[in-house]
Amino acid sequence: MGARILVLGVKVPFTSGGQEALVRSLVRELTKRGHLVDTVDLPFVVEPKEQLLNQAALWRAWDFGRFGGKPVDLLIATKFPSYYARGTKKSAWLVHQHRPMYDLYASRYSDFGDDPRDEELRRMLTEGDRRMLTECDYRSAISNNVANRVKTFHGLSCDTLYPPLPLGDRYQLSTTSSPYVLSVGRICSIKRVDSIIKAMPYVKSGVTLKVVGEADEPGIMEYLRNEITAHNLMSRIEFLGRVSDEALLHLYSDAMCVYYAPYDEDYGYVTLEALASGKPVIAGHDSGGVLEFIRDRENGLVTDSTIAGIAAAVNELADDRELAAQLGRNGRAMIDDLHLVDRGWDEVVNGLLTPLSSTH
Amino acid sequence: MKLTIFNPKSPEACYFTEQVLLRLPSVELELLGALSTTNSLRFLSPTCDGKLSLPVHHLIDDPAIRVERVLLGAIPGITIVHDTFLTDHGPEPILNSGFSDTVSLINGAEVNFSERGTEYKREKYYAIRELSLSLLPVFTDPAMHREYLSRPEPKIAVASAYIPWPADVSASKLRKRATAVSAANPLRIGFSGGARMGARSHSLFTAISQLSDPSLVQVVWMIRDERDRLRAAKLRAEFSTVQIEIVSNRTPQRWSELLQSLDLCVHMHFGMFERVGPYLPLSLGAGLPCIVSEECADWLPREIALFVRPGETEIGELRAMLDEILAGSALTNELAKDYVRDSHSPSIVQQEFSVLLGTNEEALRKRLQVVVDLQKRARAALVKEVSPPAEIVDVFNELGWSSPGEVR
Repeated sequence: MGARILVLGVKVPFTSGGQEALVRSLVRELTKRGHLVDTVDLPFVVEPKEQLLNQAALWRAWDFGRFGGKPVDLLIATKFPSYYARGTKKSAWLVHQHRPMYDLYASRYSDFGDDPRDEELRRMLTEGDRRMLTECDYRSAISNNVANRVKTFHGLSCDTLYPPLPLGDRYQLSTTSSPYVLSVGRICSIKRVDSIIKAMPYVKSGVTLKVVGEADEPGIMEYLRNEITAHNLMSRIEFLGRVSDEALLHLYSDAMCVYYAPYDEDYGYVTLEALASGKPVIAGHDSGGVLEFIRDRENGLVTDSTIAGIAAAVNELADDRELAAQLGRNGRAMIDDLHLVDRGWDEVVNGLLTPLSSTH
Repeated sequence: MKLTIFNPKSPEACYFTEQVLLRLPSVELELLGALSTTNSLRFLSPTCDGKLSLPVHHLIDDPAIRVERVLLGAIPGITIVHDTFLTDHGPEPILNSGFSDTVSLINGAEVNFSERGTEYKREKYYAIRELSLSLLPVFTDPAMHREYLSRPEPKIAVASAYIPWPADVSASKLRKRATAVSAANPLRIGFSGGARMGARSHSLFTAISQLSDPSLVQVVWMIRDERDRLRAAKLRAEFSTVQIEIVSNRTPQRWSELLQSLDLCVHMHFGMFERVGPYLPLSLGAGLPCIVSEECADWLPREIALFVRPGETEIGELRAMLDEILAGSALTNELAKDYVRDSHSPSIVQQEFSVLLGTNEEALRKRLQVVVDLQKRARAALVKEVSPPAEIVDVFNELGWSSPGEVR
């Protein structure tokens, strides 16, 4: 008989990203293997940052050990602050911690300053994080990048369990492509969608940009639309918002290349989805987890993240479509070698269920 | 006493750390890299096993030290000040820092923590925030120290001091020029400044270009790193008649090695825009003649360097000096070695630093206690601000988040 498992998600209402896809896929795979699985999502807001304390404490205040008169055998936490949850057994599959306190501290992406209250907040939460992560019966992260951060900031080791592709074997390989660059993901400054938009005036005419994803930062769409208007790019850039799985598969399959150059990304499903669709990825040298898969001139182009660098990369692929096709083929081969289409789930599930094994 | 040194990726800061801080007698030391931000969180207690425990920060004008710059405001301690003119404005937390409120709180003003969302204005360039929030700023340039003392902004420091850059005389062996200066064997001038106006690179190159035979001179220009190469290369292109060899990745160690192949050094940086750093003392310690800016005259004896006044006469004076040297003036500077031995030798600098710490230990202990008390008040204010609902008060207690005796 399977175990009773709760997968703990953290939900920013009205947005959707990689973490939601990861939770859905994990639930599907655990269920397939005969376990009784459910999810618990609590809402999460980043502002005001002081409220992070209450949000973390709320996760802790619940007793997740028993529901409906029956015990819960295992909690699987994913993202800050879900690992504050209390249960009989707990595994962590870390998507990320609250990065503005850690690797983004003192950068443009952090709102923690030198106010003594900010420093206390950082101290309380980082000490809390360390305690909660130490408490886990099994610790893993979705990429080496995330695992390394946990090692750096808490001195704790984590296994790396790469999440297999959310749409399994449905990614389509195509021998043809249309002259557009595809950008997929939430539209916010750390994802640097603005960089590809600013690069478009330097990209050869005939190449367009399709942007899939929704804005989750105040004012960012207005800013991007101003850029587009200022450079008369209206006919070359298309915002598609959130699209269906079928539409996304087609967009990947038909693209000339995929732009994905966020700043120090945790993992980046988009990278793998592009590779699975046989498309080269344009990434930045500081794109973090993306670079665990993208090798310059093997399965993509790694640029210096400047507008000029990004434009040059797009133009190179537009000028040499055979190069684009070859990089795409190499990418797909890598995905197959890593078994990230479906078989990868065995490793993930086995890792996360370690606390339930009799020898644990 | 225990010092925890936040050592940024700067060759000059590392040099100071290595030559001075890590060799301090009777001090327990810990060295942390740039990423160790969470280690900073241990600084709640001013003592470590009864010892005074202080962080040491370096302040340098470099975007690479942003973490350290935020930290030096968040956990005040000793700040080794290499620059006070900061062209890198820093990230938002620095740009909108409410440091003046923190200074008031530490100085005992009857004020509350500022309202969330308060916007602060920052004076451009001068490191007011960083210097105001230092318990003991230590300047590696006396002019910077003088300016600090003259400025009216409130500070939390118990003292401040100028500590010279360390330079070892024995480390460098001067080469002996075997033949006279000629186009085939030109006068080799070392230049360690940047490509901006403050280092006077343009003045040096103009003066050389105006010599009757510029081919008798070769400049070896050691730039900071590749970030400066484009600007340096542009400047070199403007002076096509001057032989300029650009060498990247400047460090005190590499400069010391380079000195062995030089005849003369030029360190004309002046004002707050660019400092001579450890490079001038190293050049003097090698016994090389050095051309410096008049700005150095208040700390550098006149007899050991050639002084040039920045301004209208600068290029003419420089040209005349070069002419004189090319005409056969002595190319050694033994007096300078004596000066460096007496004022900059690492053992002397270490001793000065030790005395500074010893003299101020008690005052630092008391001041740090005030900072720690402020941190406790900050926690209390934070917990009051978030006002945890009754259902999670126990969790606050479990996680140690409640401020002593006050949760709600």
